[in-house]
Amino acid sequence: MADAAAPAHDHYQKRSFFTRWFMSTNHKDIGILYIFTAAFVGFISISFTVYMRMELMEPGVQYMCLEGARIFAAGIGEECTPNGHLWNVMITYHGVLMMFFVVIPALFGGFGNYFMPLHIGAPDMAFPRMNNLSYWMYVAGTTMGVASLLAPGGNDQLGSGVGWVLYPPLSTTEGGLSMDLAIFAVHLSGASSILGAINMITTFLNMRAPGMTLFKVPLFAWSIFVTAWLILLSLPVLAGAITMLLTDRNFGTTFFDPAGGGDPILYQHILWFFGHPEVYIIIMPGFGIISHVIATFSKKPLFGYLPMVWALIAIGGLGFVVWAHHMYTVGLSLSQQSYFMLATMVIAVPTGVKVFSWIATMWGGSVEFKTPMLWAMGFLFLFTVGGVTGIVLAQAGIDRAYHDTYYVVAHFHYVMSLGAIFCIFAGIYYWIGKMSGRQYPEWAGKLHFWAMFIGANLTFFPQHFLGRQGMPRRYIDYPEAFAYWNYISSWGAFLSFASFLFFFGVMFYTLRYGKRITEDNYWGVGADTLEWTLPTPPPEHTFEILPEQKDWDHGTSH
Amino acid sequence: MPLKWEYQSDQAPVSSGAFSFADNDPPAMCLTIWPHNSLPNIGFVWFIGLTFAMFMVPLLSLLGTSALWGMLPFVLGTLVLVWYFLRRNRADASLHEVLKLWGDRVEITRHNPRKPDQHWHANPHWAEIRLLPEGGPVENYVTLRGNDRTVEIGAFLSPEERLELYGVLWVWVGYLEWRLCRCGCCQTNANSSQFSSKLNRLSRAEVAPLSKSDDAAALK
Repeated sequence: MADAAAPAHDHYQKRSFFTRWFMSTNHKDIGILYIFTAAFVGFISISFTVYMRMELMEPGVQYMCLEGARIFAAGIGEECTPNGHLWNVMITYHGVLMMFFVVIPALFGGFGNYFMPLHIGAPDMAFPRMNNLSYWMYVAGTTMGVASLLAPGGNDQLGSGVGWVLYPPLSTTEGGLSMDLAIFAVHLSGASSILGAINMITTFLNMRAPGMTLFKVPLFAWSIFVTAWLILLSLPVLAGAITMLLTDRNFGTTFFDPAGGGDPILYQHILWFFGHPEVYIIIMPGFGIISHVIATFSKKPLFGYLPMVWALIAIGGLGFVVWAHHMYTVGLSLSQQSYFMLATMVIAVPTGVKVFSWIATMWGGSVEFKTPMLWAMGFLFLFTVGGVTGIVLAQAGIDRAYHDTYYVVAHFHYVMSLGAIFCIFAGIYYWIGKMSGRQYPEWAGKLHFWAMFIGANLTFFPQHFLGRQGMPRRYIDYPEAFAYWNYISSWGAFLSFASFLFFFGVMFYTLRYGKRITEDNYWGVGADTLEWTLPTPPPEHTFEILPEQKDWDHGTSH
Repeated sequence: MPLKWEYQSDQAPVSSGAFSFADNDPPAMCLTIWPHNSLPNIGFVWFIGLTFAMFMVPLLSLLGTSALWGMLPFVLGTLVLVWYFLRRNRADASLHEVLKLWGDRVEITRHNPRKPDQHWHANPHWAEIRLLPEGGPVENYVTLRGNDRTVEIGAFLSPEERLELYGVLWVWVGYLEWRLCRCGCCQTNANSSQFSSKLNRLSRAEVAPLSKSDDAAALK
């Protein structure tokens, strides 16, 4: 090299479709790949929920019959023996796919890859080829997860019905190779996430633009960094746990088998040591997106940048010391329960800092309810509702009553799935113009939002009532007494699903026929991060010449 | 800014009064340039330390169970992995170029992260310093030509930094040559008039205004 490159024009030669998408080392292309793959897996996972809500719409079993799964309800005279295994498989794969293969890849892999380097003014990720490896390991993991669904499993049927947490002894005694495939799938996804996290961490630490000290980094990049750190700290623990599960299943070890001196509760501890940070891994990049969306559409700089960053760090840190609040009923001592209860409630403090800072950002701002802002508002509402029920569930005493009821289902869907999903949609509508160079039709985005918002609340709010009435989760059927709210909940799920299908239509229309945008910063003054200084859509290579401080350092006012 | 200039003009060698490579004088100017890197060493220490401390939380709770041995390889393996990759990235960024300038020699050494160093040298009188504002691999691409080879310098700097580098190189090459000739140790046909013509061309090319006052002082 020290030899000069001739003034070449082949520097940016056109890459073929295969080279661009299958051998990509470009962080933007990989981010797009992540988002599309996550959308596809999300569709599979959501279709499971629709099937489950169909089944739960009426008391009795009409669809998941041992005689064969049905698309149309069994009539009065038709034979239908309940197939509990199929139900268990549905809840298991909905959980596994959503937790490992949809939300993290979309938020962390997709938006993180695309926008974190842009926010810090880095030309690409620190290890572009490792980035490619992470993506394809994720695809391989997904494939293995789907293979596990279709492989011979327990009860002489296909798939494993053990719940996404894979608790032993259920998971160690589940027959067939489906369970092993599921473990490998989680292994692959874990390895992919760990490599991805190392990449993000290195990029964030080593490649910030000149002058961008840690506490000048935009919040989305910060949220990705904290998420990456959580992944780095928690996923190896999960990998260790499921590896021990694998050896317990196949090689006669007894890590979790009391017959050989092991302890099944120990698995729960390890799993939740990973599992609780995992839920923050899911939601945290969303926090970053929401911060930018709210600032953009309030046309004000974000209120309380520094407390926001420290709140992210605090939530991440506290996330590691509260895991046993998922296990109040396994026989913890009173002092253990007291500790985990108090530690859990402390999380409300940094979370409150975030919610109030978002509200304070809007205060006195020139608020404009464009689609991304609607999604951010929806997130704020749903996340706060879920947070409040979280405080309720954090009480060890109250949790005795609510444990494993639909109240818990309602709680975690409000915070995690709806919270995170609303963040994904906010991010997509906020950035799709930047990523594709085409803008979505505003009315369609708004229609999607309102259908989804009403549908989601209709689905999950009644589940609080069901939980309070004592309906347990993870059952295929329920007594007549729970029928009323289940019926309403199912209609909510159908409305949400319809809005999801409509979303695919909106995306197809936008990418094919959407209005072209040529402005760099089509949202105007509130959007002040570095991606808005780039052309729309950004060229293949960005920030080969590092940005200057004046491009991104706007101080505290515009 | 990842450029470090070291001037020797205050301590011109007494023997000749010039900076002659042939006479084993120290270089008149030594320029080290490296790419931007935002993680200081102390940051690396903090990051690894905190990561290690957090990893101890699950491990401590597994003390006394066989599951500790199931967990240990994964946890420590990840720690090793993140250590290795952070260091490797730092090594990648340890790339730097050193330019040394005498009256009768210009020398560039490029220290590559995982490849042997690369060297180039030429007589500055014959060396051609070129600036390619557009059309090069980067904006304001600076190349030096001599000894039948064209080499680039500072391709990883910002365009403004490269423009400045170009201006300073021009002035210093001329100045040192002139100084060398004044002491009667010209190895080339250069003379002061040639220097002034070089300076004229420089001003016509409208390169970056010289920001460093010591450069201007040195010219007087």
